[in-house]
Amino acid sequence: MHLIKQFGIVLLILFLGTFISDFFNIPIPGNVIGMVLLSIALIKGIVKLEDVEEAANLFLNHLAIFFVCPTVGIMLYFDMIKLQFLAIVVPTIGSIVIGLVVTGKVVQFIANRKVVDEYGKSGYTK
Amino acid sequence: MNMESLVIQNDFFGICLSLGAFLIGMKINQKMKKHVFNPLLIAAILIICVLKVGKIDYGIYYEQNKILNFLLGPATVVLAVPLYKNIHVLKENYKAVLTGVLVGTITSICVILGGGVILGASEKVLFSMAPKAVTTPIAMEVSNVIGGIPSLTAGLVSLTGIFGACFAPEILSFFGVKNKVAIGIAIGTTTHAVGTTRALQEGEIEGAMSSLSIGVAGLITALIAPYMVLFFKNYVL
Repeated sequence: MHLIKQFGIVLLILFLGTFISDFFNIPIPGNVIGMVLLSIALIKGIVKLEDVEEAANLFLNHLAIFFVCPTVGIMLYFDMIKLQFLAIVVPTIGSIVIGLVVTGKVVQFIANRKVVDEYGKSGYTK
Repeated sequence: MNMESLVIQNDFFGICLSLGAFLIGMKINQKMKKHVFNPLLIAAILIICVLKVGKIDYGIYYEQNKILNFLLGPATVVLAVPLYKNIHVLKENYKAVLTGVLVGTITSICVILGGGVILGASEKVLFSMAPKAVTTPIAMEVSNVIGGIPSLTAGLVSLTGIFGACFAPEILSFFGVKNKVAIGIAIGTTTHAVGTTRALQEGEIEGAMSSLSIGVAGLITALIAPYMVLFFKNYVL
């Protein structure tokens, strides 16, 4: 019973997200708008965490399974990838590595600076 | 009807193949205890072999797996849950998180577009690669909007995630990123949900931050990628 209610809430939000995306003709997919709607609803307390948590965990614990079909789909493009092998593989790996390091370094730098700031301030007042 | 088509034409063949291959992948992963034995990677290789050997058209397999694609919708919506659960970390570190995700997203799109152009990728491939860092439904939609091939994008998204799940924590530690929040944000921003499966194994903070950035990075990509590509089309190509 409660799982049906939980899925019902999630699917209703997905319906609303898709509706908004189509109605206003915005290039953001309905499921992403749905994600934003659910975040707002949770923060505002319109939807309680218990109302969606179990259904959410069912998805979140097994997210990788949803990627099986698209991963297999790469077989359609084997020829294309063979033809442009370097042009596809090098930028893809490059952007992952550079993206990872840049993101990590930026977050680490700002997070550490904040700690130093707070430490500095508290030291100052003493 | 012969035996072969009785199996292939069965509406439930594709989904059984997917789940079975994924289970085998998970078993091998647990046995080997090495991250390169990624369950998704093993599953995909197994399925591709079965389809190639059985001369089964990918279209048939895809049709029989429609339910998995349908469920990607609700699976994206519920990403709001880890975001909400970690809202306090987000509030405390919102500057670091938002700056990190924004800079990371822009950097990875620039690198892929720049690298692709230098190495001579065709325009279609280039635009298919651009949104590959974020989760499938968002990436496919963005690819569609900017003139890429959505199904090629989906494949690249998966490969990106698998690469992240295999190597991301090692790469980060090699380059001296030690802060747990930073590790999580970096993994989620560049290698989405599949990379997050690895982040969750690294630790609670890493996993939570990674889950959180899937949504944030997806949203930022959906908002800025079309304009970045437009800019690129007008001034670089």
